[in-house]
Amino acid sequence: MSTVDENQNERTCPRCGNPLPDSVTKCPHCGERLFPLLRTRETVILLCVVLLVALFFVTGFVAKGFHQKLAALGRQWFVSGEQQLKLENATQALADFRNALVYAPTDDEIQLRLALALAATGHNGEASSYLLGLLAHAPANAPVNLALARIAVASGSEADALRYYHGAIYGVWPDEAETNRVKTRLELCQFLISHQDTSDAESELIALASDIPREGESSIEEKTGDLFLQVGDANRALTEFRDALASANPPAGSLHGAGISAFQLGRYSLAESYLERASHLRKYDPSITAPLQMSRLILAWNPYIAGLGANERQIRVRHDFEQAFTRLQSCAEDKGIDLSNKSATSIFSPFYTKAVSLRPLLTPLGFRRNPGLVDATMSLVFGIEDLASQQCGPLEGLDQALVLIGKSPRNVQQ
Amino acid sequence: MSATPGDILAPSLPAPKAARERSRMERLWTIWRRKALTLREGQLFLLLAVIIGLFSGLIVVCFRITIEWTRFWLLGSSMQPSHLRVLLAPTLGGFGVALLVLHIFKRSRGSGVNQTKAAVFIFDGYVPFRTVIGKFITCALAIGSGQSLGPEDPSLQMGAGIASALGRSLKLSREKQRLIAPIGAAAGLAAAFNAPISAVIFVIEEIIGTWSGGVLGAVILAAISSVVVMREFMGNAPMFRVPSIEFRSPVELIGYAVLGVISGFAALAFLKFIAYVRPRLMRLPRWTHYLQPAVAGLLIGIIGLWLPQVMGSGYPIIDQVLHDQFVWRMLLLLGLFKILATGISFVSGTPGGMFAPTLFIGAMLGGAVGGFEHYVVHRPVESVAAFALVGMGTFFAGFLRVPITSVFMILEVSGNYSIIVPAIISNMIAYFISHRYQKVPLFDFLARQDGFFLPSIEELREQNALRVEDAMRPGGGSVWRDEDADRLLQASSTSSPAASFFLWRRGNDWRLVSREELKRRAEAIQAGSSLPEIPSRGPLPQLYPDQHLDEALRMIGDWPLVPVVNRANIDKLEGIVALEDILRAYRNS
Repeated sequence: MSTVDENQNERTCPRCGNPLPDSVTKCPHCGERLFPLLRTRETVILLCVVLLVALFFVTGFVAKGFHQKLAALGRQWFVSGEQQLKLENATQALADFRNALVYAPTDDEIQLRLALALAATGHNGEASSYLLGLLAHAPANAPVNLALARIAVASGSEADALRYYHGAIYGVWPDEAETNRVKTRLELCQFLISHQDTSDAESELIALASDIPREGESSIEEKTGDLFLQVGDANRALTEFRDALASANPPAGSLHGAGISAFQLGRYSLAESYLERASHLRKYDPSITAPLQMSRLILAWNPYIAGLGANERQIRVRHDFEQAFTRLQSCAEDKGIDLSNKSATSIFSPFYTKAVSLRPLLTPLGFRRNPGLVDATMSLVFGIEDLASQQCGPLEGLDQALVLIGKSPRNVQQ
Repeated sequence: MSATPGDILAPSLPAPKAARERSRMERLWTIWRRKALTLREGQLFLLLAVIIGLFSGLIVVCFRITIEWTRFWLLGSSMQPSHLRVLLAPTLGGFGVALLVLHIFKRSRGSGVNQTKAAVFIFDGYVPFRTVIGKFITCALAIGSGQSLGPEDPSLQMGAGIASALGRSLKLSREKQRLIAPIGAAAGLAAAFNAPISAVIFVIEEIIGTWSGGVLGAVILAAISSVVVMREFMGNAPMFRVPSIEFRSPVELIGYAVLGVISGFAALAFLKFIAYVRPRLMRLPRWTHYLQPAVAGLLIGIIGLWLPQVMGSGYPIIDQVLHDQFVWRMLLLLGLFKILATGISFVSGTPGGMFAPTLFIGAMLGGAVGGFEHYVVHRPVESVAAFALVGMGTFFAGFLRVPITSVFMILEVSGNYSIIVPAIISNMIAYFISHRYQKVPLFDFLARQDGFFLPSIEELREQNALRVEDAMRPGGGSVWRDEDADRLLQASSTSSPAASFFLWRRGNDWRLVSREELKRRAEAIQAGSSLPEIPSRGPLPQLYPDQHLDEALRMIGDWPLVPVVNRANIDKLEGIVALEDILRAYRNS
């Protein structure tokens, strides 16, 4: 390309500027050799374009090799970091991951692994910095959200933890999304329970229970049941434990959990059944034997159990009454109160007076004449046990059983 | 065979068939060329800018790759190389660089920015292509072997060299040849820095010095073309992965102001070190020049045994700082030792740039201030990244004295506008501290040490341009119009005898009437002769109060005075200005 020239029709010598006739190869005035095609701007530009194309190819070839080298180095350092992690050499693993990141700065996997390694070694600040960078590019990245949630938990930031846990639950998982979501929600529930936020924990647990796949891991169901128990929802806990027990390989803890759930629901017969089986697996575990013993006591002395004969029921009422009366006397004695002294009034006196008046009536004839005597007697028994537990500390054995029966006497029949 | 004039002037002789054919082809080519390919000079310049950008981008890509390959080869791929490599690579690399610079590529010494400025202002934009090759090889070896220097300034000079070579090939006019070197410089810097806006502003702020519309378009085109090439081959990933940061509260500005003060004094110390040591090392006997880069390399290697992060350009380390990898004490150490290492590398005459080390030092100091603040007042951990980012620009502004570039650079690198206020405050503080205690900017004193007295762009920038209002005599009295001819006559008789001329607004023109002419007319009236038309001179050029005085000087020509009028109402006379008024204003400035 040339510039517009007034005298473009006339060829001029580039050296001396004199006009040139056509078809000469040398200037007749100054002797300059003329290579018109090579000396024009068009030719220079054309050569530049050709050179550019050639350079593009060469640079492309070089750049491709360079990127391959970088990718190989990134992968090499990443693998080395993974190996160091397996060898539990966290410091070297971190150095290797950092090297890997230098060569593959946009590799999210390396960043995530580095961040996880950093978080695992207590470098929460640096880890969260990498993770926030990843999150900025992919806000729905579930593993990143989960890692950030764990860092927030470690730094005690409850609001951030909740936000990131929810981000992880509703985010995108690279694989096994269903299982990972359930596990994350389980972790969230544990976090909420540890922060005494039982109402939120319970709602999350309900959502979790509905998300657990039917053919899922029984251990998750068992953990869910445990958490339900921790938030006081024994009914749902029992359901979860039963689901876990229905699986092909029921975990050992499920029997225990089911027993405790049934026990808390007052379904002592069911509790005894589960706890009995659990005690075969863990014989001397007091967390099994104690509720088992209690269940047995309740089942042995509860007069409200359906199907009992009249005679058996009267025996149980009398036995329970005697237990409560003894407890009343011993508790009063511990407090230094003389119940036989009718002039001295105390909190125990009304119960004592009523018990003394009722005691002679607890005969087979009395029960036959007065059908309401069973309820009246047991009501007194429950009242005495409640009072004794308030005044004289925790109860044991049958006294405790009577308190539990008193909480839901009819329920015990189930 | 060469034709003689006699041959040419003998038209009667029939030309051979091949010659006739060639002649026909040439005519066809000429016609097609005129019709299809002819461009005006301005269009050619823009096309050339794109070509320069593409070439620069390709060369910078190859340059960056060569640096990395050299580093793999000499230091290995680990960021913490073995002690033997750390000591030997920069030492031997330095020795090799010294041999190349002293024997083969003598103009490759230095960063490249002041050499490019010298090319623009002294050598009509001439940068030898040999310098491009020399910069490529020597800088790749120096930076790749661990010398504490960066690739940006050499890229700038390589871009300028390519542009200059193309300009020469195309036989551009001297004016265009002078303009084309900065275009290449912008392209080279933009590709190296992956930031076209900052590169354009830097070239205008530091090399050209003026916002000339004639060159701005070409500079932008070249910068964008080179960045496009760079991104095509090196990927679209930004230079730094900046975590999400935000400016939360105005109270944070206190921390940024402290950062500005610290960076300002650190930049000052760095400048003073270079200004003091470089000329002394240059004056040492010639044989020492073979050893200076090697000794510098050895010293850097010794520092590198303890702090390997200070070796090379240090970009991966900046990235790690942005992700809060180091505690503030470590960052402070890295910043201080990088100043030392870069100073040693640079004053030893090792070719290489100052941009990357400047950013490194700034990021370290910024991170240290941010980390300390986090440690003391428990600010969120992201604030360290924000401080590191602002710190880069702050030290850049204080050291290179390019405050506008530094602010745009932070914005371009981070893509985050929320930190612009802290960045401006911090940058300005550092800039003013550096400016207050070091009068001559870096590139100016480097050029002076090399024997070139280049115009100081900073001084040009800070000069107050004189305007017409600084020279004019306000007022100007009444404006006489067409219908006021008789009043004009009266005025001539009553006005001060010193007034030799009167301004007359006649139609849309300003005209000048001399007292003598008015007097003659008055005498004619008194003599009872017919009223002659008032003789006047004009139309006069008109000036506006805000116009530059040198423009007024050009316009005033031989007129004894010129009216200064209001831009909103050109009938309103703001004052008058004469040649002696302009000269007085220049004398008093």
